[in-house]
Amino acid sequence: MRLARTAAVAWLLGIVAGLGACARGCGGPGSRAGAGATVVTCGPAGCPADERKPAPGGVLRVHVEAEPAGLCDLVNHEAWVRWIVENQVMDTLLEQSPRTGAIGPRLAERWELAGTGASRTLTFHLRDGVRFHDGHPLGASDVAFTLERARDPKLGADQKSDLDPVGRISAPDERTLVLALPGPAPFLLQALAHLAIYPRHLLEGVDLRTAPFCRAPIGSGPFRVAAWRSGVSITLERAPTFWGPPAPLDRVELVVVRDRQAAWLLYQRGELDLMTRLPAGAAAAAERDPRLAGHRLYRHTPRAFFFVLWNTRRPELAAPATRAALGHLVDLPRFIEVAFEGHARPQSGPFVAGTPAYDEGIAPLAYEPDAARAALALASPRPRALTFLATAGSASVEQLATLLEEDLRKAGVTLTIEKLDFSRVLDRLRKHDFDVTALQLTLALEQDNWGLFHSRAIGEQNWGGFADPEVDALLDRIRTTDDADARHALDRAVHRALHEHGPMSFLVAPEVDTALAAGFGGVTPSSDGLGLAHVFRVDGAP
Amino acid sequence: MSRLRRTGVALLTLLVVAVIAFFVVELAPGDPASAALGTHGTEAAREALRDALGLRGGIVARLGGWLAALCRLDLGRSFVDGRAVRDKILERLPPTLALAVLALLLAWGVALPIALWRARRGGADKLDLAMSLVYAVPVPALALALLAAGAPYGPSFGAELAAAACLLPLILPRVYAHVAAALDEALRGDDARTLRAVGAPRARVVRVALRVQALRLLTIVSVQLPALLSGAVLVEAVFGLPGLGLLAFDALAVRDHPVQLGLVVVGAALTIACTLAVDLAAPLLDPRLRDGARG
Repeated sequence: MRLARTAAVAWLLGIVAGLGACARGCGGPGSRAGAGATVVTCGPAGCPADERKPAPGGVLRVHVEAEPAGLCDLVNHEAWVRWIVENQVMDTLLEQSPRTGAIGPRLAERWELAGTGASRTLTFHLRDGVRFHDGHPLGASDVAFTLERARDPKLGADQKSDLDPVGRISAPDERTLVLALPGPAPFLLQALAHLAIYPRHLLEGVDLRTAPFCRAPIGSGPFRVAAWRSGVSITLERAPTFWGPPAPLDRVELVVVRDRQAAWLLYQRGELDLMTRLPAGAAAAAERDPRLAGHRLYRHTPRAFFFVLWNTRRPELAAPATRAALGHLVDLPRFIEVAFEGHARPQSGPFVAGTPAYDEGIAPLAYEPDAARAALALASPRPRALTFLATAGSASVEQLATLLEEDLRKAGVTLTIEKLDFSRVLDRLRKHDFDVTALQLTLALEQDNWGLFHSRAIGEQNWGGFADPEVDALLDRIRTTDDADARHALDRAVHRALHEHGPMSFLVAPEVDTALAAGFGGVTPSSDGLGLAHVFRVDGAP
Repeated sequence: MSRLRRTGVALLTLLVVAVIAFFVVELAPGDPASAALGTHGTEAAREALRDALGLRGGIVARLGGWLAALCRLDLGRSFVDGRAVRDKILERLPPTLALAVLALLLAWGVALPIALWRARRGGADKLDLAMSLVYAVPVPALALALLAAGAPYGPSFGAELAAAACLLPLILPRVYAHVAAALDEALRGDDARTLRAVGAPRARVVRVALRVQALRLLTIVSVQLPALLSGAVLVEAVFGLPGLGLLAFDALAVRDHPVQLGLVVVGAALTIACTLAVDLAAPLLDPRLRDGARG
């Protein structure tokens, strides 16, 4: 009996000790305070250049949180697909700097705009000697084929609306592509910088949604897909056919680890070399962990922000003053502390902070509970009970909902939190069947907000049902203004109008820590990916 | 019941499960086209996708088509990547089966000796309490703790073993309770009483009791399978085992109806097959049933 009792106690103590270790951040055995990973702070201009000397070869093991269904960005919409594919496996016609937004050449060496008015044409001159990984030459007919596919309304490509201004697409020869532009097309070049070019000879007449091609895509980028072990990993290897400077690394293993905490343990054990996003508390621990000396933590702010969306079709949420009052009940400082450990920047509008479209003069949302309660007392009709639609599994959104519930209760508004998976949240948003929700949106460097706020987009992405003639007019003018300065002035006007009408309460853009193992360099984390083609093994590293 | 009849009942059960699963999956909220296209898809794209996925006809007609395909062992194609559901499931089946078998072996390896020891000493209330407390151990946290302690990650025997150990809280207390109850019952039975009356040693009495309860214990094994299959998702993610649990989780998130249905059918088929196997093996373990079958 004594033996059984001792065994049972030991078993339970073991479990409790294990769980205790995990609650402290699963640091594993041997964690000690000391000089650990080096923090590299990346500003609006990007991360500092890595001056270390590269050595050829090496294998980089990258953490991937969600295994994509396929690697065709026209039909697979997950951010991971773009990160894996864009300018790594597949090439784009143009390239956009993730920091400055400047458009540069990629497959197209140069391009020119000719003509005036409705008879304008945009001609691209393609680079010579580009081949797909199967050896087939890449030409203008492949680009034309890809553009036609992306424009197909039945395919649902993310880039479709940006390509709407394009008229006839023609390829007079394999090195020349001509796009007819009957009207202004201010977002076209940006869209072309994020549209991977597909091989016509392999996909003509093939339904991309079910094509085996998407599990082993043939592109023209610096890496080719060498293997895909379902649920385990995707292996990229240096493509010998690539037209540009060869990638320094031999291989990139994209290792699927669903649980971020488990991935962090694997990183600490040296089984992963690159983690794009660390779990809560890990960055602070890594800075003190001597086992991670020589590792780098790239601290950057992606172009993604959180916002609260109000259903403006609900009578009690129709008045801008009521929405503004409710917005002032969001305890932003506490939200930043609780959800992001203090590492997030307040955001006041749907544009990338630091770009000319963002009006720096507009202050982010202030937490003013007393004034908000006074304003709500005067509201007619006064909101008494609201339902917050929260995406299950999104810790930040759930934390926000809990904070908001507390402050709204003090203001006499009952907030009920309803958790649903993202697909059901989307269905409810499309039907305008909600009161309040919070979401995260990744912005384009130059963001076209027509779909989010124009009254004609109600039923599509304008889920809050927001309609305002002034904002509609501004959004329409943005889409028809080719001059960048004039467009940015209109963007700032939209920013101000949205701040005034408050269809959304803009909250924060969280900072992200990307960890890179000692022995590797050249990572440039951004919303557009990791630039794996530039990552290198440091010379002399083990 | 004849073997043929038993097999017929098993197939009928499978059919009923399949039909119920079809209605549950089809009528559950959430639109597969909407889930596949995400935030940017237009209504035109969603409509086109619904057409392409065959979501247009009446539910009864679709059920008929699906059942007809099922009879040909065709589970359809995934909404997400167009791959054959049968291939996807077969690809993911081995890690989950290995996990289930290892978890069962571990659970029985722990539960049986403890239950035997308990039976020999005639009961142990505190031990019973301790075993029931094992239920309270959170499986994902235990998995992370094992990983932190150095358990392997990725498809390997080591990771399978660690993952199986993490499933113990789900099945060990139940297996232990069943075994202990079966032994208690057998030790109170006529055979045990007779043996004790003739002065047989306690170890022999327990051995006989175990043999008497063999069929019941085997039945317990077969009913553990559903718990293990549903518990697999909790540990497969942490240990990087590409099994059915994760496939089910993903299929649910993106409303991949054919994969969801395929998994229900395969899970039900495995459970029914285990039960049927135990049923058919019963006469081998218990001669009385053999005689009864002849009669």
